[in-house]
Amino acid sequence: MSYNILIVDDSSSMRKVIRKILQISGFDVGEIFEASNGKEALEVLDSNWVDLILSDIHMPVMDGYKFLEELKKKEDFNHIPVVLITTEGDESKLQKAMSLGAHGYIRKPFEPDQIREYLKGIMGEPVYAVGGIDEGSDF
Amino acid sequence: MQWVELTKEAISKTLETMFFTLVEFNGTDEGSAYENADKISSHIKLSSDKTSILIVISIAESFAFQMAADFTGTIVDKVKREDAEDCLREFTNMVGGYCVNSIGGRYSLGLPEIGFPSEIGDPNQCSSFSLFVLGEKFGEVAVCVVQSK
Repeated sequence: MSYNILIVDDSSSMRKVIRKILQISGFDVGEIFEASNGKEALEVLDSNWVDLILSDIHMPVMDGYKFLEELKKKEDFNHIPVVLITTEGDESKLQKAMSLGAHGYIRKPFEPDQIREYLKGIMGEPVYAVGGIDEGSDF
Repeated sequence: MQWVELTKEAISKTLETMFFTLVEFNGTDEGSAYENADKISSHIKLSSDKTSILIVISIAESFAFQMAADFTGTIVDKVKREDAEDCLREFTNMVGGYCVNSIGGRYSLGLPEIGFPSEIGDPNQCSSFSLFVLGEKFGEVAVCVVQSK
């Protein structure tokens, strides 16, 4: 089963980095969608099937906490695991995010393997060796 | 000053982990191309009840373009100014986040912005240091303590 993944981050550079990590992760990744804040993410969810969400917390327009709250209200989406990739350092705020339904969190700066470990917990074992896809390479 | 050392640690860790760059904080500014180079600046505010800390990072535009290329896995010719700004903003965000994490979350993290902050009144509130890579200066950082109103 391939997983469609939604990346939510206000930084286009960070979205590109996470996309590349996913593409060479070795996991069966289907479509990768992007949104620059929680509001855009909800719009993506309205019209696409998503199996996993990787989301930042500190974003303009709608931040990660509000996004989790909105997600929780929607029966169609509240089963989707959300992993937060964030600079948030306040443990109590991260616990609040967990209570709002986040599956877990990774702190920036992060090593690509930290994302792979989370994917493994959700998606199971990789289907091919790391670095097996050259999609999107400039070379 | 504790904040300066913490910011240096955050910059070092972030550049090494996510930008594959080993930064140095000692070197000579003399004859440096940095002074005449076009620059991009970004800042972030860490706030507590009593004080706010502003971290202002300025780097040579050419280095910002190279950083963005390295970060996103592309070649520098494909990087646009907005990509370089976005990358520096995210770098500043990670530096601020690392500082907040290190001191146990007593400060809340603002959103990073491009440009200089307007609220630095007295330059004496700021401590500055330079950034070098392979002996070449590529940036400057100011760490400013501002009393919360």
